[in-house]
Amino acid sequence: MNGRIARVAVGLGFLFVISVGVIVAAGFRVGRPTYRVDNPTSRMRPPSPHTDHSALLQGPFADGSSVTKACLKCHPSAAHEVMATSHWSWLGQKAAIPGHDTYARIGKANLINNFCIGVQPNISHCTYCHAGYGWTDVSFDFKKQENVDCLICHDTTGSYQKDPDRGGIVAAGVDLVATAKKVGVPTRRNCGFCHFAGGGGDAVKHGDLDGTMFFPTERIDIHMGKLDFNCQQCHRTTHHNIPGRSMSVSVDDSNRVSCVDCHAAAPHQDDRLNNHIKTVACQTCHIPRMAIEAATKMSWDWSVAGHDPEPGTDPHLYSKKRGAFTFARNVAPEYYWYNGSADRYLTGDRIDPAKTTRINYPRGNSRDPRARIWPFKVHRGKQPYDQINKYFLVPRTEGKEGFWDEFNWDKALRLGSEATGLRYSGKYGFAATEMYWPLSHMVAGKEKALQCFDCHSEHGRLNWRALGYEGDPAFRGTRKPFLTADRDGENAK
Amino acid sequence: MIRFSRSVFFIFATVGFGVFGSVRAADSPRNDASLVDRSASSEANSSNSEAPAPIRSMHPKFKMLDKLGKPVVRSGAPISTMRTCGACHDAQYIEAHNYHASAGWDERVEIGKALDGRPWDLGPGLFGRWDPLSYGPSGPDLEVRDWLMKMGDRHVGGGPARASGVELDCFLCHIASPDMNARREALKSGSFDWVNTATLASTRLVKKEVDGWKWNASRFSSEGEPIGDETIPRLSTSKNCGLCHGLVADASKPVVLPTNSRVWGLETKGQIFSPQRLKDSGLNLVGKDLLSRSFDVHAERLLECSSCHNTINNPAFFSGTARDRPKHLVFEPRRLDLGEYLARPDHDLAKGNTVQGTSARRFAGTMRRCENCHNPAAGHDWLPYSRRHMRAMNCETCHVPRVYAPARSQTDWTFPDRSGEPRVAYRSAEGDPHRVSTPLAGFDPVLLPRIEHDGSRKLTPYNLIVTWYWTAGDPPAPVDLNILKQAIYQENDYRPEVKAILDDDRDGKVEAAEERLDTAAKAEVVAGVLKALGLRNPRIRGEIQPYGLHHGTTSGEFATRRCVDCHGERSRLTKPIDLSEYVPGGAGAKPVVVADANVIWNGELAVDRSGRLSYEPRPTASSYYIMGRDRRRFVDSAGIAVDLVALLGVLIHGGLRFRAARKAK
Amino acid sequence: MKRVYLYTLYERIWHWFQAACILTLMATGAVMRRPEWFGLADFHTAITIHNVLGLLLTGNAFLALFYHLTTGEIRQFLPEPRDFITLAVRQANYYVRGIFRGDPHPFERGPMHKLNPLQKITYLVILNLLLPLQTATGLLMWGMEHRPESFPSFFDLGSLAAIHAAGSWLFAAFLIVHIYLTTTGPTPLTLIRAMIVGWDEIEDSHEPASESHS
Repeated sequence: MNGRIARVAVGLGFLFVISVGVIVAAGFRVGRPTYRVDNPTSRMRPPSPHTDHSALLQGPFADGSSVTKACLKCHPSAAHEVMATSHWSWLGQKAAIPGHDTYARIGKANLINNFCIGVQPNISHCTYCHAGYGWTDVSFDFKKQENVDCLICHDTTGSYQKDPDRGGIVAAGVDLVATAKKVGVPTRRNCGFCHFAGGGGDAVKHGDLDGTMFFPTERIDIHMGKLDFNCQQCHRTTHHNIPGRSMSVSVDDSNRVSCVDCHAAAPHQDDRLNNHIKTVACQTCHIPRMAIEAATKMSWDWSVAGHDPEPGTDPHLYSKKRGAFTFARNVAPEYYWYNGSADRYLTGDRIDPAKTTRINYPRGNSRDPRARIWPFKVHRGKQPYDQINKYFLVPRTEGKEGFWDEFNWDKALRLGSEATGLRYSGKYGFAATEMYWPLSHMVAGKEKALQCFDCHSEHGRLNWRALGYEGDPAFRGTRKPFLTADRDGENAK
Repeated sequence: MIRFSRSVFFIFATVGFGVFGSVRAADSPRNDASLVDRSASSEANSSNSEAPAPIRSMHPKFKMLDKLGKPVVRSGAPISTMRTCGACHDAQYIEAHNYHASAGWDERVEIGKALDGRPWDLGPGLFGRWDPLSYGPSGPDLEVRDWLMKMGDRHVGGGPARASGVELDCFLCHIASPDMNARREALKSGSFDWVNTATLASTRLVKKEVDGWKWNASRFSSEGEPIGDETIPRLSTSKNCGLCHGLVADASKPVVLPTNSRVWGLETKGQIFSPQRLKDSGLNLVGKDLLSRSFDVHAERLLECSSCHNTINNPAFFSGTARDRPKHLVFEPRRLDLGEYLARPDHDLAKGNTVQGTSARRFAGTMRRCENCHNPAAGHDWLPYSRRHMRAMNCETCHVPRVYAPARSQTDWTFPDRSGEPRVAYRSAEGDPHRVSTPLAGFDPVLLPRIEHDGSRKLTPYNLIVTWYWTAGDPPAPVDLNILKQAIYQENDYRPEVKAILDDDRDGKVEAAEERLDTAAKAEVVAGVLKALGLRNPRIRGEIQPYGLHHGTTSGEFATRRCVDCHGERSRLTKPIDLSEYVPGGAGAKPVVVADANVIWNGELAVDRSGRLSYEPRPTASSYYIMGRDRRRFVDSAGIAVDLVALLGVLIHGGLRFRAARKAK
Repeated sequence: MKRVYLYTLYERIWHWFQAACILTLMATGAVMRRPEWFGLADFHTAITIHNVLGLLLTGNAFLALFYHLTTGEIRQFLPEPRDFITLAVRQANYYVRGIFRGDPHPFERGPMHKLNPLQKITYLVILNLLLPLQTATGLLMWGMEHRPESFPSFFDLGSLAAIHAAGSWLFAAFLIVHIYLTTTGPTPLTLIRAMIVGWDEIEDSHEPASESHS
């Protein structure tokens, strides 16, 4: 009798002890402050390991291609991987182009912009920033593995240079052996060499990418400044495919880098802020200003180029070669709906020269549930077009007989037309254009992000009516997109 | 339920804004980047062209009329708001239901019977209650005209002032940019009829010329209606309130401190109503880079003063007061008709239960408090015993953790300077707060139990200001500053006997640090002179006025939230607050607390060796028990003794056993 | 020497669980009383642990009561009704004098009588007065913190805390003496070992403790 009760008691006792652990653990959970979980570091990839190549690459190397051949001995698939990317082809994957019947590959190689306009007639100079050797004309062999330039991305010495005039071959005087021995994981310097200097100079193009990002402070960018990120920590590269999409040369919404790759989708403590996420991109509040330290180009008027400037003219405001510019620093972006895809002016598209042509334009509007309000740098320009054929022309600017050599538009456009295959009627004029550059860099932490009043006040940043609201949504309620969902994101032009 | 009432509140708030013609839906893009022609982008990315045009204002055009009902532009007479606004609104009603107008006039009591305990006060309001900050007028023979000249710039007109010609100034609160300076000047110069006209000086309607105010006929229609929209009335904004009450600033430019000390809310409480982050402000704050909280989270979240201090019969806000609404009702759906409201809006604004706004106590508690908008249970699941905490303290205790702008700590009228100004000391500032270079460290408010409406007591943060001044006579009254100056100064110097006693270091000069009556002996000398000047029984009186800190709130992220901030030896709840560097009249003189403050004084005034006076709250004395800080010390002493005895016994016993065992071997 | 099975498995679990609870409660209680002396940051955690363990200890006590009542083991704790005083004095005498002379224990321990008279009275007080007192004051304080509105105002947190603290000081005193007295067996660790494994070696009452050394 006693024994049985004792056994029961023992059993109960064990149960009791086990429950101790459970209850204590539960007590801890209950007692803890409940914060929303946003632990971005947990979703970051570990940095790539570095291999010392100094014993592996002895040289001597006659030219860049011989270095590439040496690389390929151990990395046999590397060149093919690079060749599959737009860093090599300057063309994206095939995609439907909104507003066109075409299903085409578009990219830097065949599009125009409103900075230096186009690469085709100037290819041997533009390829200064091409990850290859010797692209000087259409005969360039895109299949030849040793044409790939490994060093432009993997040089860690900072001594590697490309020749600015000869299709991106290695500049004279570069010690290839020393450079090759020191190859490593790309640094901000490798990416920034081209991407910070887009448009022909530091800070010109993007508004959110410039030389201050080589060694930024927290004031410039919280990820690269405070946390010392390099580019690949967000642009998570696999097999040389570097994700990230520039709306200036592509229209589709794939292979993206996104804040929520690391951050929680609703990371704020305040529900009111999380409610914004349906409508507002993270960048909108967290990039309160662009071109924080280095001024970026806001407009470019080619039509006045070719005159000798008054003595003492600021070369940032006018140059004979390029025309008139405006620059701005630490400015607020402009805000538009953006659903990830974009409209694109394709070379040869008809224009109405009396109107401003949008070279590219974010798609989306208040009725598009995928669209969110994004910050943009808008670059406004005036560039040459064919008065008879009504399309934009691409001049040859670089090199002998180019516009920058002879300042003769007619000749430059004719030479350009030979390269692009676009017929030039001989009559040219200048028409207004706009380009839209969505911002994703120069991110500010919560201490500097926009506050309510920045948008929701009498002098707020957002033009509610232009964005399709009846009034300030803080007082009138948010958009009602889902009744007449406009899934194509068709924009009024 | 709470969510429901909140959303309904929002709907009605929206209606409220709509009625007053919100100008929020501003339509102009403001962008620094507009370096080139933006016309092309103005329609940018908008496919929604059906969006209706923003509503400017539904307020109709109106004629500006004088006292006789004639358009001012024809008569050239000063504007009469009672006639102008009264043409549609029931201006008499608005004036009568308006404690900003009556200013305590209707609450006057027999002299000596005021609740604050000062024998010379006439009541609890601006009219009749002596103002320790400005040595404000009071006393049995206080004339309205004198009062208006001294205090009129803190009064909206009407009420007692109407008889003197200052009508209720509707424009002060209801146009976008009233001219406070012109109004103040008109009051000081005594041209009371023109005070409300002067408020319009910032519009182009009227201008002061050598021979007086002239209406600008080109800005009026032939009917006498103003053409522009500067005088279209709107819901009063925080900026309007700030004209009298304190520093209100938007975020368009860095907030800076004023250079004078007549910004009351700032002076008494160090509060700044602004959405700006502290680190973006123009204040010289210590450790500024890290101060990323805003001055006031409600300002940051786009609230206006009127969001809480609404007109109490405003149908957009009305919910019945927490005091008189039946307990079973969360929301009172019965509404006043909008038209009736617009005709007779009750301008007794909802108010809390503060210690400083002593007039119109009958409206105390009509305001929505924190818990009427917020659901405290929603955000405090991390806080152990949150109900206990919320029963013991008001939200402000943690959510006004620190005040950064300088607030006054002492006003010493016992030794005014030659221009009759008091010696003033400030918290937060290490030096003159009106100088930009003075570093501002911020200060922790003192936490005192406040008596709530329901009789419960809750800890609430306060700033304490101690004021010292001479009284004389029977019944006592503050000594006339001119007589006091006579007692201290003569010609270009001090009176010799005053100078002799002030000159502590005997160098023949009275330095700034010596310009104070910090010993009984010094006070005695001045008292002697005052007696010789004919005053009876001159004495120094010190009084403490608490100022409740209910603004300058912050979100949970920046609130006091570590347990040990309160539960520990250095508890915030018992942290003393300094009152003054010295005690006029010597260390023996203790200030008294104004009697109408609804707080419990459970602590102790202490003077340390250097003569500094401070107040240490003792919440334990009001049966607050702060775990981690409070303990009955004798229990621990006795416990330690018992345990030591046990240990000693054990050791001795063990030792003896050990010895015995060794012996046995 | 003979080996006897003195403590059942349950009794041992009960004892050690109780010991662990009480020690942890005293440690976390110290943090709550003097947060700045004992780990500031853990104030919140300490309170959580203290509350949970307090409840577990109470539950454990009720379970043990059930066990002792149903098995009749409760008799072990009940003092002899008649000559309790004489017996207690004899035990006390042993502690004061006999133990130094190497006298045998006045009461032979065995499965039927595990506790000497002094132990019986001590444990009776601890388990029936001190432990309930701590439980009651602890629960009251917890309740008052948790739902302040449901408690009448004559419950005063300060006094409750004082009683609770006094109780824990007494517990500490008990612990000191209790642990010390475990060393009074044949060897200093014999008794603790018995409480761990259950089996005890009981000295023959006729022979002096010969192995006693330390």
